[in-house]
Amino acid sequence: MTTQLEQRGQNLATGKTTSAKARWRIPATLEVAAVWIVVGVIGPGLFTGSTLFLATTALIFVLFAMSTNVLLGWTGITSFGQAAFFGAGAYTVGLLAPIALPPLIQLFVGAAVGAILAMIFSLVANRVTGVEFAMLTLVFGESISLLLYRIPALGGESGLPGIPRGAIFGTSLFSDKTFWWYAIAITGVLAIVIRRLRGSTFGASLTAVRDNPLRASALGINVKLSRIVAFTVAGLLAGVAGALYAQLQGIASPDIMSWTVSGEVIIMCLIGGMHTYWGPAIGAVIFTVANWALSNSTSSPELYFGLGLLVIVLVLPEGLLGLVPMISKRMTRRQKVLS
Amino acid sequence: MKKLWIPITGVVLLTLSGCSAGSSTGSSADSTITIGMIAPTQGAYAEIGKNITDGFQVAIDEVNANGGVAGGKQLAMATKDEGSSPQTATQAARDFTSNGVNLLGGLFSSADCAGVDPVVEQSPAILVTASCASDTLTGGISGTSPFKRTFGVAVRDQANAQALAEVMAQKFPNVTNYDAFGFDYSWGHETWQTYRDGLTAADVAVQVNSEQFVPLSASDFHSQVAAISGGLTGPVASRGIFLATFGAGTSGFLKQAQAYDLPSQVALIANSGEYYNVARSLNGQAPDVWNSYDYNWAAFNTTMNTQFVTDYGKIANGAKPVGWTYQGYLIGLSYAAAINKAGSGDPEAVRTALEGVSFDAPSGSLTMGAASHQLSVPSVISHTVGDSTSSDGVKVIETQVVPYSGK
Amino acid sequence: MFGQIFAALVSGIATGMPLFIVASGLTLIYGVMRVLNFAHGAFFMIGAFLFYNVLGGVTGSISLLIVGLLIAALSVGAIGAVSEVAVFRRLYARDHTTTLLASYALLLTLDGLVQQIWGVSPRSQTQLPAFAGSFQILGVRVATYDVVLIGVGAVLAIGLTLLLQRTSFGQTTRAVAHDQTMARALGLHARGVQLAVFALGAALAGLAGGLISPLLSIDPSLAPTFVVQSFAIVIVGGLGSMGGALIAALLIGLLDSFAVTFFPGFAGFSLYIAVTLVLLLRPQGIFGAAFASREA
Repeated sequence: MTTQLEQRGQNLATGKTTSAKARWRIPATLEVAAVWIVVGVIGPGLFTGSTLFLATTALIFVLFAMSTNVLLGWTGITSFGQAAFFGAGAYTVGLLAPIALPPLIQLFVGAAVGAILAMIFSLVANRVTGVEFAMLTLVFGESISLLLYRIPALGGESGLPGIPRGAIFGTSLFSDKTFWWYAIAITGVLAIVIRRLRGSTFGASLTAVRDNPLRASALGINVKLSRIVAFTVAGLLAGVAGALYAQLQGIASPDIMSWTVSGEVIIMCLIGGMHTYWGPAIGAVIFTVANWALSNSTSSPELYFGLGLLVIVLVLPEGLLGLVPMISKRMTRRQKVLS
Repeated sequence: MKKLWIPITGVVLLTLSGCSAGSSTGSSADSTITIGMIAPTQGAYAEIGKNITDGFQVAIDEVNANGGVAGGKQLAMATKDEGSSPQTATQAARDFTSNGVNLLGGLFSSADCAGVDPVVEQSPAILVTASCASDTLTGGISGTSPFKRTFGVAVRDQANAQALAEVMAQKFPNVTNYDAFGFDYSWGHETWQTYRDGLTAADVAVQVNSEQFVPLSASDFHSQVAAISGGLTGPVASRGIFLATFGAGTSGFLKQAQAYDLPSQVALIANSGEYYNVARSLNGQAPDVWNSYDYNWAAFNTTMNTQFVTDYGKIANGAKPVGWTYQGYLIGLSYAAAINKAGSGDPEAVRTALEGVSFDAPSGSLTMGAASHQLSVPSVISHTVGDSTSSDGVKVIETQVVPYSGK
Repeated sequence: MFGQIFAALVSGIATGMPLFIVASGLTLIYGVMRVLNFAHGAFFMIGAFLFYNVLGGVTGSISLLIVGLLIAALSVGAIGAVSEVAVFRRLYARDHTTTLLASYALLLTLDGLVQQIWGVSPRSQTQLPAFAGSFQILGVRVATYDVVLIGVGAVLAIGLTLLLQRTSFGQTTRAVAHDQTMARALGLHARGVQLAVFALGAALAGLAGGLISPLLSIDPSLAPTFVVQSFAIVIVGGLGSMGGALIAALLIGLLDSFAVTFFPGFAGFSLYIAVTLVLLLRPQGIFGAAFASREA
């Protein structure tokens, strides 16, 4: 498995894919756009009532998981503090609610707050890597969430309720259907940006840093800077996701800053597969839906959720999307046998 | 990789459509009216959730046994998990209304109510909340509820703390040296503030030794207990401890305080918030505590209270109902009375009927404020101590009912 | 002033020692296998529940208490052994994120299982009369049970250090921690050692659960209680260093108690500030690597 990954990283790092990239760049963007358009169009017809709301929640977690995967899957950084940036975006929207800024401006401010917070943190924490870095992110996230209780303006346990959704280009986002379109547009654009980043030299340099920091450094990549930039990008995107979440829910509450949320978003990446573009997205959807379905159908959802997760971790190291190459390999083998 | 998006879209859509397919189970056969209860069913607050839904179940069982509502219709309960965040709570409310269940009840956490109330406001549903009693959510102080479609059956947090202050000022006028220990969020701080102001207003010259506030999820209070123990001043008869905690917070503090013999070094331990379940869990070892909350089973000498305690005992192995059980019970009684008044389970009619509806409850007649949307529930001050010979390990020494002030 | 400082000192040690008892098993497992185990919290909780079950909530005598502790430790040790074989053994070669998540999944599973078995009502374990109450030294009130816990913690710290430094089991363990392949080449039974260490670490969590249960409300929310603190202790103490963990636990206890006494506003932050400073100034932890590692 590791050798496979290394190979892939090597290919990216050495530019073996450049010839392919020229051919693939536009289709890759189109591919993402197509998925978002299809899901967007079918969504309101397929999901009625509260399930559309659930689908919108899932969509926001797709963005959050994709942002986290910039660290986890691309750069090989484990962060147990991503909820802090997600929460920072949400609380920014909550604090801005009285000024009634347009929703898009709120997203920009949320993104900026997430990015700045992440950049400051990674500048300070850059001295350590690995488990120690993960521990620092955990501590950082917990400290930020403790601040929610210590700064009266942040509302403590009750959070910041009563956030209006506002209107965009004169259209109110009040109905769940218009908000769905708004969320589809925002997450779709960012998903395309993430796809382009992944295929860019920046994406390749992150993969090189992940696979072998020493070699990356020898290749002229500034390892520390790459890590800081990756962390900032992840914080920015998490900030947007958090801001969207607050607009959807109408409340920014302290539970979204807890370390368990940071753990959950890593789980989403892991379920789907963190070494593929689509893995985190699939993982986020499955996580959200499974969580919702289990809590309504069993008395101890934790038990089944935990068991399911254990099976995925043990049997599918590359997540559910790891199944695709496994199956296709088996199918080609069978075809060969048949012919 | 290239063609991957086709199967992926398929998977996404299938997974999501699976949930929309499963959720269209309609509820209203003509002879039953279903009320959707949202309460925690798992995690740290699962027991509280069970108390709320059990109390509600007792109420509708009694109502149904007495011929039902609105000309013989039966009441039924559906439940969904409140979870541990406003997101799960609002999703539950949305799921209920999507399935045509528009009479909602329950909710334990104020944060969840802050998330759900505005959602209900924009829906065809109405909601009667259990223990969401913070001032921002109810019309308790201003007299007008901020939400047209939400009602509350719990005593306002501040009213409970105020009632406790009045009674303690009367019974312990010499206790002036206070240490406060509470949950580190608005409820904890405000409860302590109200209690302190209440004492001052009643001419008790309160001196604050220390204030210790801990996160809601904490359970190790070693340092806080030691700091309180080390900082005690003045004669024992002048010392008091105020606890703005509930659940594991209260029991953890009391256990660790007992290790330091703290209860015997103070004249008074006062606590505002549900406590009976904590006292019960301490195996007959609970210290002497004065508490203020919505209910104590020994506080009301009415046939209806006896009936409630007996009926609850039947489904709970003889256990006594606690404040949360009582809140669930009152939600059931409120709905039954309002549906009778409205003559149907139509949410709009029930909403109108709830405003100003009066009915008999274990504490006597109660009225749902027409504008405040707040039920006129009195506070109950109870004085209890652990007693290993009693069936649930608690002896109720004394209770005092402080009427609803109706501000 | 002196009284307050002395009181804060005593209470800091009394706060830190239970933390060390909980974290000792985690330190051991982390030192040998590099596994940071979220499920340690669940092991702790199961220990508390089992201890409660054996004694029925009432602690009658010291011998009963010891029986209860033994049963809690052995049963949780067995659960640890099973989870090592079923889960962790398959992941030693994988990256630390995967292992962390597997342990998180195990935490969820065990948490759900505990709710299924014991329900949701909180329980309370009564203190043994001999250990209940408190006494005064130099005008400072000290809880009797704190002294017991401090004693147990000290015995554990010394015992575990001796076990690792002076016995052949310890030698083998250190060899495996240092270089698994080499250890195997030398004919050491690496798998057996890993299994034994994991079971021992889990048993320590079970023991901690039993020991600390008289001070806590025993309910399903107990699992995550000490997890973050224990992780902090392991990291601050340095890779698998028992002495480092002890000092880290006492440091965290002391910081907390001084903050609570003198700067209440900082109370919750003291742990985080300590961890941040140690990690940034001395990333290898206070004591560095006890088991020199192949690659951290």
